[in-house]
Amino acid sequence: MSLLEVKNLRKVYTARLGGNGVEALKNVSFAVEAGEFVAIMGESGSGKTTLLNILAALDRPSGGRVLLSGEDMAGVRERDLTAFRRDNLGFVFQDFSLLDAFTVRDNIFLPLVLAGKGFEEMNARLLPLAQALGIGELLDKFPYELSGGQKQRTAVARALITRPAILLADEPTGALDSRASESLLRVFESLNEQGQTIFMVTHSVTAASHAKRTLFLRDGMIYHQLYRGSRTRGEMFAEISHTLTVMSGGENGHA
Amino acid sequence: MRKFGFYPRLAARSLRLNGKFYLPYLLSGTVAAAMLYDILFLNMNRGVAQLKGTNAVQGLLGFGAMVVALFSFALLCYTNGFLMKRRQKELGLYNILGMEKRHMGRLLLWETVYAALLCAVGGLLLGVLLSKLFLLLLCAVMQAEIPFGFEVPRDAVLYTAAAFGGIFLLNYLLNLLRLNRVKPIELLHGGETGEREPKTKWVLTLLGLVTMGAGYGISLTVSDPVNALMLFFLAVILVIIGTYCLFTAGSIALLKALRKNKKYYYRTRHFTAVSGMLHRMKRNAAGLAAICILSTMVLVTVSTTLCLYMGVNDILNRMYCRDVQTYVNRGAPEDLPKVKALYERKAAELGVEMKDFAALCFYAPAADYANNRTDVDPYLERANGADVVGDPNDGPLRVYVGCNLAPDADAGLFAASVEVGTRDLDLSSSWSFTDDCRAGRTDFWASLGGFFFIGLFLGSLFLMAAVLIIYYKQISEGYEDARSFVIMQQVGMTEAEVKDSVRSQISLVFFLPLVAAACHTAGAFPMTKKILLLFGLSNTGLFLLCSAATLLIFAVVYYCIYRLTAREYYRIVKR
Repeated sequence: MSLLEVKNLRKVYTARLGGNGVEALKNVSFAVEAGEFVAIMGESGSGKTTLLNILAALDRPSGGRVLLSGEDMAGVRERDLTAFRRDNLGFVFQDFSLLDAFTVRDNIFLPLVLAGKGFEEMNARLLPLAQALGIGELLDKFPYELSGGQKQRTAVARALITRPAILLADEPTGALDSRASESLLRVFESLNEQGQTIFMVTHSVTAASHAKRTLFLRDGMIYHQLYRGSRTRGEMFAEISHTLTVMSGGENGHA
Repeated sequence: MRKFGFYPRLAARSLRLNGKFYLPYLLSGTVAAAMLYDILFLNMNRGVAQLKGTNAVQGLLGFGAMVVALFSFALLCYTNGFLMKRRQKELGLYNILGMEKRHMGRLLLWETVYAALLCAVGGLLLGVLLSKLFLLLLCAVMQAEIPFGFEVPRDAVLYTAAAFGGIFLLNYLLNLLRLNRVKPIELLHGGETGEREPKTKWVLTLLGLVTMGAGYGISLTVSDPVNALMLFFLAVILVIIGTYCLFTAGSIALLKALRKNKKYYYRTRHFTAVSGMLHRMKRNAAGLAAICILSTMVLVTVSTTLCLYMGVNDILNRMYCRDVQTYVNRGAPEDLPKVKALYERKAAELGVEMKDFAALCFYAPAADYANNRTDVDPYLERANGADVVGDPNDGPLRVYVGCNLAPDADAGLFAASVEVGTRDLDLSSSWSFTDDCRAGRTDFWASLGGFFFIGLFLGSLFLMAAVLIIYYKQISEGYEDARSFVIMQQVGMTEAEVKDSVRSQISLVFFLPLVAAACHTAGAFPMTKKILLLFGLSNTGLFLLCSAATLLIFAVVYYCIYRLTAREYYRIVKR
């Protein structure tokens, strides 16, 4: 059984005043195994965000199913969704989404506080995580005192402190310079080596070249996928770029 | 681009688009203008001038008009500053799009002109409409006859227009000053910069504690009414300073202490509330202190004037227990029969019948002098046939004589002739006087009714200001917090938890000023009680009751405001 299974997913947005609906996702199926690092690429409007929102249980699909550890997410009741999301999914956003009013420590603690954990337990979880992410010295600083890379690592720590089954990342390097991006992607790779499943939506070929597998989304459909296998990052980078060139050439899908 | 027409239209548009912010500003400006007109109307109305006992009341109304004008000025300046801060981004955008500062100045000029016209014209119309109502109310509390006719005093209109024109002109100049100080990039990012966490300010905390302590100390230790009246404003100023300091510094110290307590802090309910409040306390504190002080002003003004009004009969029974009264200060026992005889002679001369005649010598305890002659029992009621009450060792002797007259008898004439008669009596004291107490009662009703009216009038003005500040605080914080709540929901906060956390945060912020205001009112109690003695009111029970009733009603009103503005806050946060 796969950790995450997406079967025949459809999403149609209907305009409020009649008219034709927009089909953001047409028929998307794929599976993510435990321990995978999957990147999903596509241009704006390809349905990436819609897909991520459905995986995050922030939006409901129009058709098809999403199974997490075999459990159908459509079966989770509305009021249990938040807790479900909190316990199973970790999020990293492009704009970091840190709270200005909290220190780094308190930002990371936030999901655990919401889950009603005690201070001792939270602290025990925090220290090794903060060391691993290289933010151990910054715990008492406020977000406005941090660089972009430090902010994003704080956000990663916040996503991971609940020990989620999957880390969902939405353009995590979108607001970072190349050095900070590189360092964050290394962090992702090493987390993945330790067994963390990661699902990342991105524009950046560099970012995708760090993943073990890359899915290409176009016009609401999976267009192609690439496994990194034994390829080096450089080779992977070239391969992804080539696929993107072909994809924008307008050929029909051959996934 | 046409030179004329563009800025006026742009200004009108931006007023409309910012309606959520501008409407309360314009509304309170209008109401303030109406109130200024109405109080000036009452001050200048010929009908009021002809009422009995209105000299004191007209003085009070003049004073009240000054308070209304000054207060409107402070209120509109505060609100205007708030509005400008919110609009920095819009102005920054205009600037980037090529609008120069002088063009923006022109835009602001038109906006000010519209706002001033709306407030002044709307306010005057509202004021004229309400003027008769206020007149009826004033006459009712003064127990006076209602003058006929409807008038619009020209001077009241002119003064109101001038006052509000001046206020808006000043606001415009302040806006220009603000505009000239900032750079375009700052305009664009205005109000977005990450704010540093406030430091704990020990000096300010200490200053707050000292001034607050001194203010309360004066109130608790002041011994006699005259001192109480003189020191009252000093105590008020000390407490205002103390409130500002303690809300600013004390709250930060308190919140930091709460944050140190891990068991308390790391709870869903407290976590976001404490950090959120700490984060914005620097700006928040001034607003909270202002709300607290305004609430205290409402409470003290209304409760004291209400108490005076409710206690009028009490006071009158003490001061005027007969229709005509004569009082000889530091007299001698020999004076008593002389005055008695004078009363009988004059009654016979004028052909009036004396009823409830009472006369006595009274050795007044020294403490009565330190207080006020009216702050003691009605002496005449103590006579009970005895000629002398008290012990010569108690203090100086006072002689009291008084009687009631038939309802149709002329008390004024009788009192005047007794007064003239006492001058030929060769009394042992040169200080004596005779009162026509019927006229005295009417005057007293009128002036205390006037007090009560002014108390209510200013109380409602202060209340309006408090509501306005609360409203602006809530909506501006709503916009600030909206992003935080989106993030918290992403991280795993349920909608119910969001509501819970919002409630905890808002209610703390909301009820802190109310509790502090109740404390201030209680702290002022000993002092205001002594000041009421000057008016002859010594009924502490009544004053307690009035204070409690005022507090209760105010708390209910405050709670309603809380519910209304909290709903607005939810709507902004939820989006």
